[in-house]
Amino acid sequence: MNLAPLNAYLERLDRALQPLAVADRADIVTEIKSHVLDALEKDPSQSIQGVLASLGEPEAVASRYLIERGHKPKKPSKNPMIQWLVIGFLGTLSILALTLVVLVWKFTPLIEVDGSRGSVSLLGGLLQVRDDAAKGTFHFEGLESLFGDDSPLESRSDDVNAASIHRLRFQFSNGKVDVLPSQDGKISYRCDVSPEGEIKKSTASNTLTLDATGPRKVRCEVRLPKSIKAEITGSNGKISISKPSADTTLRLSNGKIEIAPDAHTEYRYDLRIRNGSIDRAESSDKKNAIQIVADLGNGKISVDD
Amino acid sequence: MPVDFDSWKTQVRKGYLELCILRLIQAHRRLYGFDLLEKLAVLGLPLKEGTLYPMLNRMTQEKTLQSVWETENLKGHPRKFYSLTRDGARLLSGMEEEFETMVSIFRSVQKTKEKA
Repeated sequence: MNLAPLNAYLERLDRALQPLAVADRADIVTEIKSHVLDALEKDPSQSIQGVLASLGEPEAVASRYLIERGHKPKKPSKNPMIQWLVIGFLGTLSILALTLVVLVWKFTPLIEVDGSRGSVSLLGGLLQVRDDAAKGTFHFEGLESLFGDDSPLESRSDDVNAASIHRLRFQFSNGKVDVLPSQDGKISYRCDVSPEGEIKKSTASNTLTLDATGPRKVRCEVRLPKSIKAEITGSNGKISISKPSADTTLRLSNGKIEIAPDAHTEYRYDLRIRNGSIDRAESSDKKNAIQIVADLGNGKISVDD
Repeated sequence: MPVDFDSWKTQVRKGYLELCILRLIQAHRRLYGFDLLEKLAVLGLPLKEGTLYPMLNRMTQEKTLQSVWETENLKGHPRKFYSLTRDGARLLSGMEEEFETMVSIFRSVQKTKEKA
C-alpha cells in the first residue's frame, strides 16, 4: 500500500501543531498514524484518502488539539490579500490627507474681499473675481496660466515723450512685463498681446498710466528713462525690473518678481510676500537710497545681486 | 429545529460524553483510541475521530488518564492504550453521582403537575 498520502498528511499535521513541544507533537502524530492504520486494517475496502477525509484537514485536527489544551485557536488566514488591501487603503488615505494639508496651507486665505477694488480673491489668490462694471461681467483670472493659451498674439508698441512725466503706472492682468532703462530718453513699450483688448493710455498730474488689463495676456517690454518712478501692477505672471533708477512699486498676485539692481546705486527694499520665498537683499540706510517696494501674493521675489 | 436546540444538545452531550468515555475505559481496564471509537458508536454515541483524540490528549494532560504505547506483536504498529488514573477514577465516581442526581431531579420535574 502506498503510504505517501498518509505521510504527507502527517507532515502537515506536525507543522500545524507548531506551538506544542516536539515530544508532544511526535506523540500526537504517531497516534493519528496508528488510527489510520487501524482503520485500514479494520476495513480494507477503504482507501487511505477516505480515512484521511473522515479525519478532516490536518490543520483542523491540529486546531482541535490546540483548543483542547487551551491554546488560542489558530485561524487559517483565509485571505492574505485582505491584509494588503487594508494597508493599501490606509496608505491612500494618508496620502490624501497630506495632499489636503498642503492644499490648505498653500491656498489660504480661502476668500479675501477687496471692497475698494471690487474684487474677491479665492484660494489665496489663485482665482480672482473682478466685478467689471463697465462690461457688466465677472472676470475670473488665475487659471489661464494652467490651461495654456494658444491664441496668437498681436504687437502693440508706442513711445511717449517723457517731459513732465514723473511716474509711470503700468497695469496688466496676466503675462510678463520687463522694465528696463530707456536708451533714448523716452518712455516706450513694446508688447505682444492677445487680441481681445487694447492698451489704454492716459495721463493725469504727471502720471502716465498704461492700462494693459484689457488683453487677457501680455508680454511687454517697458523702457523707462532715468528718474521716472514706476508702479507696476499685475495679477498673474512675472514682473522684472532691471537697474531701477527711481522709486519703484511692484505688485503681483501670483508669480514672480525679479529685481536686478544696479551695482552702483543704493536701494532700500521693502519686500512683502504672503506665500513663497524672498531673496535676501541688503537695504541701504542712506537718505537718498532708492525705494523698491515689492508686494507679492504667492510666488517668489528674487533680487539678483 | 431551532438553533437553540442544537446548541443545547451540544452542551449537554459534552458533559455526559466525558463521563461515558471514562466509564468505558474503566470497564475495559484499558482501551486504545480506535477501539474506544467503535464502542462509543455501538452505544449510540458516535464521535468523530478528529474530536476524540484531542479529548483523550487533554484528559491525559489533566492526569485523568494515563497512557502506554504498546505493539501487539513484532509485525504490528504501536498503539496508545489509555487507562484511568486514581484521580480519574475519583472524577468518574463524582461525575456519576452528579449525573444520578440530575436524572432524579429531572424525573421529579417531569412529574410536576401543571398548575390549573
